[in-house]
Amino acid sequence: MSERRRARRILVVVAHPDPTSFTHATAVAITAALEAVGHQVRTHDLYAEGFEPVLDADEHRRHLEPGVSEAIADHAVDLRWCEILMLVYPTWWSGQPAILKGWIDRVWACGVAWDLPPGANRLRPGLGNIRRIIAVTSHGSSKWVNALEGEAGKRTVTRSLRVLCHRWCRTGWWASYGLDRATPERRRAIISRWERRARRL
Amino acid sequence: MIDLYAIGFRAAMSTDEHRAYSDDHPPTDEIAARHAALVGAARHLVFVYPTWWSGLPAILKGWLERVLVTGVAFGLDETTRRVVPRLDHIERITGISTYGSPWLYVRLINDNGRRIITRALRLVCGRRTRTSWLALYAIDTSTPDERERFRAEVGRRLAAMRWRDV
Repeated sequence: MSERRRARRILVVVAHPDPTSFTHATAVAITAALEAVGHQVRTHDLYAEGFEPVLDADEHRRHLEPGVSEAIADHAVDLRWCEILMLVYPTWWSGQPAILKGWIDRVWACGVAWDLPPGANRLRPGLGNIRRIIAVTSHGSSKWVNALEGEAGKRTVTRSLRVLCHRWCRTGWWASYGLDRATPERRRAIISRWERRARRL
Repeated sequence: MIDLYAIGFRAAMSTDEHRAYSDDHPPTDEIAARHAALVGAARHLVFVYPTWWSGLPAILKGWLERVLVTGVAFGLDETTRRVVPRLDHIERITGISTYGSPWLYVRLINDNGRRIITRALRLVCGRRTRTSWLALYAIDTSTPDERERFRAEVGRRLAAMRWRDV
């Protein structure tokens, strides 16, 4: 580990139903690269863990009380543990897949990611531990079509999530486009590119 | 009217559904297929939801993903692999949402739910499809009066909408 870089605590959250997917291959490659250079990595594969994305009536009733449901307590612990958060997912309908959106809805809770002082309209940030959020995401359609759609998912990560993290938190947008028409060679090249970036984190 | 929570709608697309996604036919899941048929017969899509994290609650995002699949909302051209819209029979899309944040904050930071509904979804509709947005901001500090006025405004706006002659 060079002097400029030190071992970081990294949380990788993966969201894809198919374990043979490009998304999973990407997550596996990135995790291996991160561990190879000495980082501590914790992973949550939302589908493999059977993560329930739908915030239920009870959670909603208690959303201004600190804490999360017992079943997902480990997610909250890991979210507050990490320094770098990496979200690995396919962009669907210009945003995060429902299971990942649900992870945000349920885990980024009061007392975990924020609190709301009485009378305030704005959340007070609670994830000062996070200094980087990186979205690693593939898009079926071209960059042009996604720009036209407004890239809602990019803004969710770079704005809504980032604002609750460390004041100087940087965001990374590791995006690939046109995957609907990508050859196996191109897919491999994309994964290699993310591996190289992961090694330089 | 579809109440996603009341029917216990499953938000997460399954592996099978994902593998079948590019097939040009309606969803295999019975409920999703029924909803797809409703969309196929509709002139107006109205989405009513609280904005969470500047976007759609997971259950609604999941509805878009599992119902508006290839063969329902769009087709994939075999040769060019480009998206071909299939919702051109939809005349109007209306979003009705409540927000924790105040108007200026939402406007300056982002409104991703609105983006998804009025841009991404609209791209698979017709060129003449009109979108409308009705929003109640800063809901955590709103008064019962303000909320009642919003409900009345929603009713007025929907009643005043004009439709193409069939």
